[in-house]
Amino acid sequence: MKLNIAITGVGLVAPLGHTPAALLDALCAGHTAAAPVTGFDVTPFPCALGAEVTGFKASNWVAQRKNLKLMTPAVRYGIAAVKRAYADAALKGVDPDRLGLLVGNGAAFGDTVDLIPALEAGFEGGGFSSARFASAQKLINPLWLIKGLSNNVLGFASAELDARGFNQNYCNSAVGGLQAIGEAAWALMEGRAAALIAGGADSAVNPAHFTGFGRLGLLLAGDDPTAARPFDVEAAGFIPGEGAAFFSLERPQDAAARGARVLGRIVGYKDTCAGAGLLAGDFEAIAYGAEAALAQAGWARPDLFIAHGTGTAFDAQEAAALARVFGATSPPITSAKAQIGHAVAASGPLSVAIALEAGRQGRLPPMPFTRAPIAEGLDLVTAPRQAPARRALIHAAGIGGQSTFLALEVDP
Amino acid sequence: MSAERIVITGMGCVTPLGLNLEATWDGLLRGRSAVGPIRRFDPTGFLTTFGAELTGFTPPTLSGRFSRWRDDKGDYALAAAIEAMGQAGLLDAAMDPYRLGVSVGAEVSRPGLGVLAERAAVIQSQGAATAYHQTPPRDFVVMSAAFPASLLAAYFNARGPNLTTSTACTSSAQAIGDAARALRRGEAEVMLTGGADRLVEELMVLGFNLLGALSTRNDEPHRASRPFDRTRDGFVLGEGAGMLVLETLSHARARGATILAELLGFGASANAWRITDSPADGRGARASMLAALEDAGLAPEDVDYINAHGTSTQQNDASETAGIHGAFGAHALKLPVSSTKSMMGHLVAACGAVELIACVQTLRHGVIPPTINYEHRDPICDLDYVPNEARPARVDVALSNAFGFGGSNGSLLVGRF
Repeated sequence: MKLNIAITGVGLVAPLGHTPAALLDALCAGHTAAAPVTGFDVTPFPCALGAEVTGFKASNWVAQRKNLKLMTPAVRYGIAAVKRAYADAALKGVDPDRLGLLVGNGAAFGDTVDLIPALEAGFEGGGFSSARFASAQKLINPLWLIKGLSNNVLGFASAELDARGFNQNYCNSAVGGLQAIGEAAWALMEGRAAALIAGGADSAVNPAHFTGFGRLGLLLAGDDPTAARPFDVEAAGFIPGEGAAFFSLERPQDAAARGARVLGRIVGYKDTCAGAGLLAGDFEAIAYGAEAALAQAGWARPDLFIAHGTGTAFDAQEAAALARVFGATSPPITSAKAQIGHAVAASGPLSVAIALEAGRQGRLPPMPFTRAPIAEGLDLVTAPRQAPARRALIHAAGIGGQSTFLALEVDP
Repeated sequence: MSAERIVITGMGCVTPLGLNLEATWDGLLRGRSAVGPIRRFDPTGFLTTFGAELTGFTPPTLSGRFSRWRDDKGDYALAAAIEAMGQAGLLDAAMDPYRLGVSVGAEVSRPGLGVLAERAAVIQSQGAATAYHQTPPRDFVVMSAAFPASLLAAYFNARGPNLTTSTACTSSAQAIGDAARALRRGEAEVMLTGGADRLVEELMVLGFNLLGALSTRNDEPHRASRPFDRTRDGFVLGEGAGMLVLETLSHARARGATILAELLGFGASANAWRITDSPADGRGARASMLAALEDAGLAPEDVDYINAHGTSTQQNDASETAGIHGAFGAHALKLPVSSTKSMMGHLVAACGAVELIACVQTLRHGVIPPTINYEHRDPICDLDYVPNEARPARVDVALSNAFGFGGSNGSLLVGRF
């Protein structure tokens, strides 16, 4: 069966722009969203920068206002992006039992800040006592556990849209969002729904992610945003980012039947894992996945490759895989992470939104701070470029060796 | 869907009833409760002081650099996976690594209360930077929901699809559904799939207590999990893992594998309602069961047994019963429905996998595990719940339900092959 699923709507909440056109303009102008983080104290961490969403008001997007206090920033972005994608595709009128959501998101660690009053009670009178802590549980918001659920975008947004159909939630490092889109595309091919909204929402601009990525040595040290340089010999880490991107997906015949505008089509999806090669830094699975996605799409090469491109040691593996697949000359390669940071589970879907707009305009966004390529034969886009980009191959990779590709054909 | 049929060729589990498939199944048939007072930590002060703890578990040996990458849920998943791959005859088999995939239902691990308290003390006395530098780098990786799937991929060199589903109590049912879908469309020939969770922890007891979701029958823990009984007062936390080897029929036949059962269908739905409640009419449960029947091309009358989600909360059991009536019509009253959570508690992200394994065992052995602690009939729960004793019965098709916080529902159908 040939994968072919229409994208009929986009919903975006991102640093630098809340529409694909605004985001592409900002990326091509060389803007960066990276700025000193002010929401929490960053002095304990090696990184002082974050690429944050601005100009976003959650209360505009959540009908059940009392639920707002149960939602992390990532959940709020996700709900807004889902609703934007729904409105953009004019999905109102689709049978609720045949409408569903597939979400990729990150680790919801729960909010341990809410536990502090009970923890303090636990310390009263000397050493810590779990019995004193437990006896003080009245001091904790009774809905504390709900705040930490990892499927809150799905739970809250499906209720708000009355989407009762097929659904999924992937909590899978940085590939969950791209997997949600690919799996949704196949679920539509299987006839499991009339329309599915799929994408990802995440935020790494919080102490838990600064600790996690920081201790793994993945964050860019210091406060110079132009030091974010994917595929550069001096690449030294990424800036935590955040955001959400969701897409309304339908079978082409269903979109045509209701007269929906088609922005592009998903024609390839491949998911692989490094397996036992994980600790060896094996790039073979990445090359295998790229080749399989290209074969599914029926392309020899894409017009544009949007890399995972974090600006860490992983770049070398991605570059080696590209060399394996494309030989001496790669297709144009870009990554938005230097400018919008690493939005983890949302990063793949954000790349899809950028690819749709790049394809529509025939304009490739650059990696503006990258100067000296880590390898020969890489066609790194370092300045905005006018070029056809109808066929985009998008890559996302995870900390556990996950590697996911999506092939996107943009309809002019 | 394509004509490719999907079969189950291996199963493994680690549950409070037993540390492997045989011991777990034996406990289920005997109607044994694995619920008791919490021993892992001192539960003084907590509203609930009991659970279905996993005891006596020894993690599988990991060598070299992997030995540092450990987390309880990952260890449970790996132990169950080794058993499942062993039963499937795939432990030492030469396989194309790109044709072996992994799909796991799991949730992020929460820090233990002791760890949190210690960190708070360090921040207080030595500052946040010291606390930062004392955090083990591996924590971020091993505590993530995706860790079990990564660990299994690394251990078995599985380079095919690698998926992690996190939809609370529905996680592993949906993960298994994804595995079947990947096989049907030819992404892989073998998928290792299931779920793992660790729940008898201070913060989980606290969090679910705050929501009023747990039974507080502290004076008689082993009688606390009583799905569908009128006096049910909440669920009991369990923990562990269940893993299955799913395989395309053609691949299983080509290598001469023993086929345990066929995975006939998978359906999912969303309640689109509230985060912790399900609608009283059971519409989401009904939709998920009907979607599984449609996927399998079966009629309601073809189903011989339902392993219910049956958590022992007032609301779930009433809503699920309504959903079964809605999906099965007149057949509902002729259909045995039991909840194995009455014996092993609620394994949350792992329950869908372990309960599907119970369904396969039922097909193979011709015995339906009971709902224990069933004493008082509830007028709104009026089905045949197989009370208190296992029942011999020929079962050709069994349905397993899983419904979760957040409103995702998943239903899986297995059949005698």
